[in-house]
Amino acid sequence: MIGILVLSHGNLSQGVVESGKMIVGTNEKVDYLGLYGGDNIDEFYDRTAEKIKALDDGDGVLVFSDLYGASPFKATAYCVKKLPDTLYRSISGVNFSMFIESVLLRETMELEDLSQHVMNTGKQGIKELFTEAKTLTKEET
Amino acid sequence: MRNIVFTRIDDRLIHGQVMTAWVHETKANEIVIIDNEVAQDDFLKMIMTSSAPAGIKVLIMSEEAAITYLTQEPDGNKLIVLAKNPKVIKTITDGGVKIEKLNVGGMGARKDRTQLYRNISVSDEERACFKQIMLDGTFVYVQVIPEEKSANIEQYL
Repeated sequence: MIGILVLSHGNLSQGVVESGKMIVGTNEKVDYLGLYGGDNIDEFYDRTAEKIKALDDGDGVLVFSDLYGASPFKATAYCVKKLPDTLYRSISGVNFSMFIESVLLRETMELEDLSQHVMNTGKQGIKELFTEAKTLTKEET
Repeated sequence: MRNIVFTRIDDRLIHGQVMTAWVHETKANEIVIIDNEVAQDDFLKMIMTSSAPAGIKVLIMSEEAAITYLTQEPDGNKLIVLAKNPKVIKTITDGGVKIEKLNVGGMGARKDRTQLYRNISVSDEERACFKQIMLDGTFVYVQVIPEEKSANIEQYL
């Protein structure tokens, strides 16, 4: 089974994982790691690598992070050297829809397909109420 | 000497919005990251470059290359110099690079480090480095983001 890791500044990643459990009911092979003010960054990179390794059973790991270019995301770039034998994909800008979709579909897809699929899910989950209402009204007429 | 407008120690090097804020504040148009590890890793270099604010030139080089580069004639660019720790800064100042002011923005806790000031922690070696950098004429201050008041760390060393 594909493992899922969520990385963030502070408690965001914990929140995504724990709130996700409300909806999907399971936290099996799902983990999170938060970076806090004053944490040593090299240790954070090491802990990220350890978590990815622990979640990999051969099917690979999908890693989400909160912000493109920021430290939790960069940690996954540092992991390339640390984990030469572990297959993983790293997606920034995590949101709830892509996280849930990945937990639900991870047994039906390979890692590469899953990562492409949930990126779309994440983008499609961003909608503005009144803009949507307008579009829907137009479609009806 | 190249025109260095801002020199910063941050163990996360470039990270997202924080660097954008400093670029706006300093009006810099070039970032020079000095890090021996990243400099020899093409993949990390690419990721690091892509995480910089849009429209700014990013160079990533070893300490040795940085000494050569920074001591060249100014070319009109305004430079931000970034390093992970004061040892790197001491190496380049020893190599002839002049740094008037050194901003300390991020040095996280670690087993060999003790707290210096708020979220800034230093090891004994790094503490000695800071003292030497100051003796050599560089003003050292802590300021994480531009909006925050700066603090002179001399009293804490």
